[in-house]
Amino acid sequence: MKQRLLASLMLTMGLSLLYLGIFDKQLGELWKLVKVVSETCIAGIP
Amino acid sequence: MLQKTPQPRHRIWWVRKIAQTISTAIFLGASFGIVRTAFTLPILLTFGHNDKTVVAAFDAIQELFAEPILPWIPLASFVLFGILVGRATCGWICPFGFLQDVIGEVNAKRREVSPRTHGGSLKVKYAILGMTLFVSGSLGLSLICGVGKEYKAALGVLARGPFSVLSPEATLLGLVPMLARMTFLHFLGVPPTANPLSWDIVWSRLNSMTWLLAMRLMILVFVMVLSFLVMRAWCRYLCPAGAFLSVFSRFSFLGLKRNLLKCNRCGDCVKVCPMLVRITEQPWEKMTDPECIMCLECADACGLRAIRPTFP
Repeated sequence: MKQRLLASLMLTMGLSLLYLGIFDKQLGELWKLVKVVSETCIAGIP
Repeated sequence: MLQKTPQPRHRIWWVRKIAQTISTAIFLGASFGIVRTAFTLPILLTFGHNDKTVVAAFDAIQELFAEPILPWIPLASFVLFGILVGRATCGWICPFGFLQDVIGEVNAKRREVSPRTHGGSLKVKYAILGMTLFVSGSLGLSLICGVGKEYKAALGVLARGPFSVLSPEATLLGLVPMLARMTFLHFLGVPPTANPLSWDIVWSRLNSMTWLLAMRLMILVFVMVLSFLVMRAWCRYLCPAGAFLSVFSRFSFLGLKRNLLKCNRCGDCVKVCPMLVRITEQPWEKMTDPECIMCLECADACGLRAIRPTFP
């Protein structure tokens, strides 16, 4: 019961983080970052 | 006493291998026309791989902190996947996990570590996770507060990814293929038009960081040898993404149920577990061990069909 409650709380937390990310238009930022990093770094070395 | 019944060997094993092959092909398949997305998954997949089609959450956390942007989506990815399916992404879709499986299965005479060494080594991945989050988080927060420029300069190449720049996965899937491609094109005399980086730029950058290159290659060789000797050694002891997932996977909705009426505690499940989880010592009604990657090798090995996945 306690575990279920904690799991539900964490699920709510995860969904809130996702909402914050989408509200912050972070997917677009992430996409731009991925493109830039892929094109300009050498396997993680900027 | 219950007798073992004959069972088709490796039934789930085959399904998992097919899932791992397909997911690896999709995640690294931009060259074959698969659409690149910003879909963020808690797996290891370097930002330096040009053909990736999804984003690795742990790399994204480090990169976003260096921008500085608070990494809500990558954090949500860890929390949601961890809570819903535990570490199943490690066992079923992570490309580096798949490689670990393949390397481990090649060696039929692989060794097993002692319980004491195993117990102590499990904490190493949490230490790596803690250090990475501390460096990236402190950098991100100091940049947001407007006082982190010197800190970022002092961190140098570690600023964009304290873990990513040393990750064996990034070396194997990013650096090694890139170097191989560039060398091939250079000696053929073909100008690398598809990549904005020319051989000269790459070579001069690598020459200026010989220590880093040497360290990355040494770490890669060490991890490969370790994975050859010990099944899933990277995932068990060193992977910070797996460590982050296991923080949440202990509360996961997906778990394993052991039927007490069928189980005769023969220990076959424990023997085949790649993560050395002592299944018979776990709660029978639902097992959500933080080390369990939900590979279901135990369910495959159980002749009495006593182990089954359960949700929620």
